[in-house]
Amino acid sequence: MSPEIIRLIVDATVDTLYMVALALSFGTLVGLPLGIFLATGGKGELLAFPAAKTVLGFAANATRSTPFIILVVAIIPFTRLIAGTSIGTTAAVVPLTLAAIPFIARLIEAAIREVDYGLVEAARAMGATPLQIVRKVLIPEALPGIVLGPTLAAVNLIGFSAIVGVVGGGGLGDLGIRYGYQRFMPEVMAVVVVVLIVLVQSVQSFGDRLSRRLNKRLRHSS
Amino acid sequence: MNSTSTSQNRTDARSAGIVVFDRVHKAFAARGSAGEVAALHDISLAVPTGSIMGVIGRSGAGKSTLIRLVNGLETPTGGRVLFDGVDVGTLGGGALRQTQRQIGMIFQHFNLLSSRTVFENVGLPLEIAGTAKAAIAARVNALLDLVGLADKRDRYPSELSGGQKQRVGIARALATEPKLLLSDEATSALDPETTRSILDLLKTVNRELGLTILLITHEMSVVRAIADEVVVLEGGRVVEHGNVYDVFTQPQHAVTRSFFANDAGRQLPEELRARLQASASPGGKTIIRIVFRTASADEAVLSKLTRELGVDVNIITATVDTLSGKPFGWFIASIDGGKPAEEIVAYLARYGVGAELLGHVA
Repeated sequence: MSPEIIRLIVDATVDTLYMVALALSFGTLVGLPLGIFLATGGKGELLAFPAAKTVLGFAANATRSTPFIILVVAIIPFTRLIAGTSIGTTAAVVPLTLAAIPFIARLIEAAIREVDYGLVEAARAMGATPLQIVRKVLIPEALPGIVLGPTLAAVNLIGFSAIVGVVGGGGLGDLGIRYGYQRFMPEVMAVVVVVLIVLVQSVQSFGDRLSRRLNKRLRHSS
Repeated sequence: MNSTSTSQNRTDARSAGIVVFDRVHKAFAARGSAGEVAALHDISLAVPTGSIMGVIGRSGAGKSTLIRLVNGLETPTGGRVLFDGVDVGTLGGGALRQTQRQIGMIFQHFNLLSSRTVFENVGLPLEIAGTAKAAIAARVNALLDLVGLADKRDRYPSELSGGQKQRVGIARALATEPKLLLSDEATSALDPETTRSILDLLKTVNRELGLTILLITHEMSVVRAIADEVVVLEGGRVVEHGNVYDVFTQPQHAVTRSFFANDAGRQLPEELRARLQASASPGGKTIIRIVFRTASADEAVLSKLTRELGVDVNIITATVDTLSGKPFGWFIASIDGGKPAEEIVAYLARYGVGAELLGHVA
């Protein structure tokens, strides 16, 4: 493989990491509070605000049910508004973030709903405010599940990042299509796939390890 | 004028007990229909300050709802629940939270935070109340000494046994120095030996800290071990209420009796029950249940009965014990000698011994 190709692969890897890292950070920043609200905003729940919960729940479902490639092109005006341009790696972060938010939020919602209601009741009996219950009970208790949200989102985003090639997003997937497929360079395709596998594996096992470490429900031998 | 009468009411309520249920009614919206399901009907009760009151009932009797009304986890749909003279149901927000801090609660499944160490769990109510860190540490360490878990300070709940978890639960419930402790089936998930040690701890806490305890349970043995008064709840109503000795020795309601069904001397052996007939047959035996209470338990009534009526008394099953320092006994006896059952019952009644005809066997 020529040095130029290797260079391309390195650049593409950096692009992918850049897009995924940014989308994941923004996605978690919005997805975490959204997930907490989706888990607690229903009727009779802790932060009961059913109208807002219904609207946000619908928005989350709508975003998740839109095929990503359609989402990318459909929100181009919005992307331009946010990123100043609709083309390039930075611009690609906008649709990726938008896709990550409901994904992360739903996973975090599920993790928080797993928390034993008895703990919430115990905290209420102590005279805790709803926000104290969220901060001191729900988030710490759900943390092992919560960290799996961004982990799975990162894996998904690595896949999604291949699609943002359509708006000049760059990255590994884009490289694989343009060189590996369109220019008939199967070795580039192979390397891209291997790099992607390594990325996904490392993200997943890092997330799993973190989740296990945070889970005090398991007895630790150490 | 108005304020005087309010404070007068408050004093009255306080003298009645730290917790007063005043014609309390609670209904829940029924699932899937417009109707309501009543959980509690017209409950009036007072929990005397410094006492241990046991509320016993089968599942669905409403005891969980009853206890949750006291600390505002539920609000009554009718009547008032007073804690320390304050109508808990009318409190909201900050005032309710202030009141909740004066009431500790322990649970069947402990409800400890798995993500926090023992120390952090016990300190949680204090963190919530905004207590300074140093004060939390001092208080938590003292509580861990009290419940005998000082060496488990930095362990996580998953590393503890059930009994140890409940001790953490008790320490946590005591953190804010409450006036009242609510116990929601606190020993139901524990084995008998651990149950005893937890009940001992609760009794110690009651005696030494003067803490009133309101506990709910479905086990009469728990009531017997620590309660001063017992309330029997069935179908959302109080069907029996009295001091533990009276309810144990003279249960009035069928539901109350059913809680004693497995005690020796309270129930006929299966084999005998099958042979039991309603009417006497010539040469047959009379089966009666005899209850001795304080006054009669140390008199030789049975041997007098044998001598004076000329009957043979054969004891089939019995429990003789003391409760709250007072002796009591339950016997099921078969009596042979041709005397009518009514005469025997009347004879025993003269000595203050309760007797009840169960039937006859050939």
